[in-house]
Amino acid sequence: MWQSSNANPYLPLPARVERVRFESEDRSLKTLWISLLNEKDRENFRFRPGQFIELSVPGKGESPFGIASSPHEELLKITVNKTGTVTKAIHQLDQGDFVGIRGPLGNYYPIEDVLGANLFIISGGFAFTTLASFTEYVLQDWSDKVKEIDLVYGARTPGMLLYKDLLEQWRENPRIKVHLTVDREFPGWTGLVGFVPDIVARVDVDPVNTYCFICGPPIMIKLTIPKLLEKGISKEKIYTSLERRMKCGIGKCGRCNIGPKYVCRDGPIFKVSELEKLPQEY
Amino acid sequence: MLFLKLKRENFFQALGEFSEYALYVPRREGERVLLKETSLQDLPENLYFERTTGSAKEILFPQEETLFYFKRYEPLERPKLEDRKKLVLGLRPCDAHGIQVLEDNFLNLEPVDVYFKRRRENTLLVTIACSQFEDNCFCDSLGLGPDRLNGADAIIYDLREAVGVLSRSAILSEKLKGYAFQFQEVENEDQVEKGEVPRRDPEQLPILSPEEYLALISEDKLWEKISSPCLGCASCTYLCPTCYCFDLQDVTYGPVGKRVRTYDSCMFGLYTLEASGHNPRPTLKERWRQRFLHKFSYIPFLEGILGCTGCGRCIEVCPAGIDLREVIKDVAKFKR
Repeated sequence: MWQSSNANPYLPLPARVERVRFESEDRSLKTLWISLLNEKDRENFRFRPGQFIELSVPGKGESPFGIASSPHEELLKITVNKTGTVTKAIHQLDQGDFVGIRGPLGNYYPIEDVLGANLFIISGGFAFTTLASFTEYVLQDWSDKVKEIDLVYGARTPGMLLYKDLLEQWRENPRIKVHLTVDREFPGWTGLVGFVPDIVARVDVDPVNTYCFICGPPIMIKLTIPKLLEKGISKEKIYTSLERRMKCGIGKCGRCNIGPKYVCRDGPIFKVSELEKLPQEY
Repeated sequence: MLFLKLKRENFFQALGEFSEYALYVPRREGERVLLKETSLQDLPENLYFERTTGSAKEILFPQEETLFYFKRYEPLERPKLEDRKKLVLGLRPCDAHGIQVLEDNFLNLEPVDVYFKRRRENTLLVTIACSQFEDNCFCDSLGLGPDRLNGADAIIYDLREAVGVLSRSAILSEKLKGYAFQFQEVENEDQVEKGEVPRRDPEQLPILSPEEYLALISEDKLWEKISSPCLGCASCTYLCPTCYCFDLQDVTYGPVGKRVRTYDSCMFGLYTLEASGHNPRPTLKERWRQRFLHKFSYIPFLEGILGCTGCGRCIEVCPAGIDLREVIKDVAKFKR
């Protein structure tokens, strides 16, 4: 997964912002499409859904973001919530602006390990990024090697749902059942109403042969896991992606560990059965 | 490994072979003992050096370093890696143990840290076996010792009339050979003549296994008790030979800038504070647990060696008087 030992893992690859779009109605979420400037870097940059990049805005710093595009897309897509110094600077970026990219970093959703099974993909809010990448990837490349695919995706309001273009495509794709939900009734909203864990409880899945992939706000993850366990799904078959404050992204700088595991290097994706053995420090 | 014996005067002559290396030794400057560049003529005849106030890590992992430069609107410039060769003389075996921990993090666990690697390749670390114990040091309580080679390239033993050098560096062995009156290959560092090494009945400290320590992670009362006197100043982590946690920050001067790496500390609240306001380690209780378990559980678990060298610097510097030896004992009482 790593570049050769001679490569400098701290040096970002030069890249350019090709397109930007506000993703949410409140303009707190912005999506950027980014291309690597050098041909060689473009060839070498191979990622799998679930991995992340460190995005540099020179002079402002660097922050980690899950890759939201599928591996087949030409441009890298990320969605950024305006929260801190770096993300504010990212929100000011426009087409043609120069940035730096390190990655791909971390592990990925292990599709090869779940072939022949049903997939239950569960997400909430703007954490949908890497699971959107994963969903699209599965539909494109692994559709005939997995059984049923269910997606539960929720946001506070219809206007806060990410990637409406993709969601529309998937709703028309017979290979996937899309359960979209918002927290309460909205005029014109014809989807489900309710919190993600409650919707998850209502979706009928085969407990023996289903693998679950969860990414969302910590409280959503916390409340969703028991609903899956109640269905009889084993902790071995539930994957979740964690977030921590990161700097280096390569397991050196010391801050994102949970016990002896580094979220950046050993994760960000862990089985619930693995997390159980770690301190509840997340 | 090669064990060499040199007459004193020949040892100093042999150091002349390292003319392309900048020579660094511990030097007292007022209250502090710092690693300073020096000339061969200024070396003390008796080869005694005080223990440095800070740890040796700064030689390979400086408190602040530039990783690369950039111009705001142009692609990033390639970094300049430090090429200067250094011969560092007079550090202690505990420092060399700390270097081993740093090497595991920066070199042995992928990916390789090119900055550390370049410095390590350009540095010859020659420690000196301690002639006495310091006030608060306790390496012998940890199964280490004041005469161990640890992560050094060579260690010097004071053999009164002669100087004994145990070297595992081809460069050092090659250059010293011509000046030695005796040398032999050795398998085991305990086979060599070490002169008078200080010995005492070490205080017995109950060191648990990494797994046993990990099992104490939810003992809130324990961590509360240990952290309660702590002021969160992080001095301990800055002086610790094995603390390698760092921060990355951009510094700008108009349209140009640089990315710098500086020491950071798990004792600071900002260390893990997320932009959302969430902090997985919100109080000193969690931070102390992280510092202690990183050294006594996670590093042993990941790297196979203890993350404490017993140098005692954290004890000396702590403004709240926290004594790590007492902490080790307190923690062991909670063993299940």
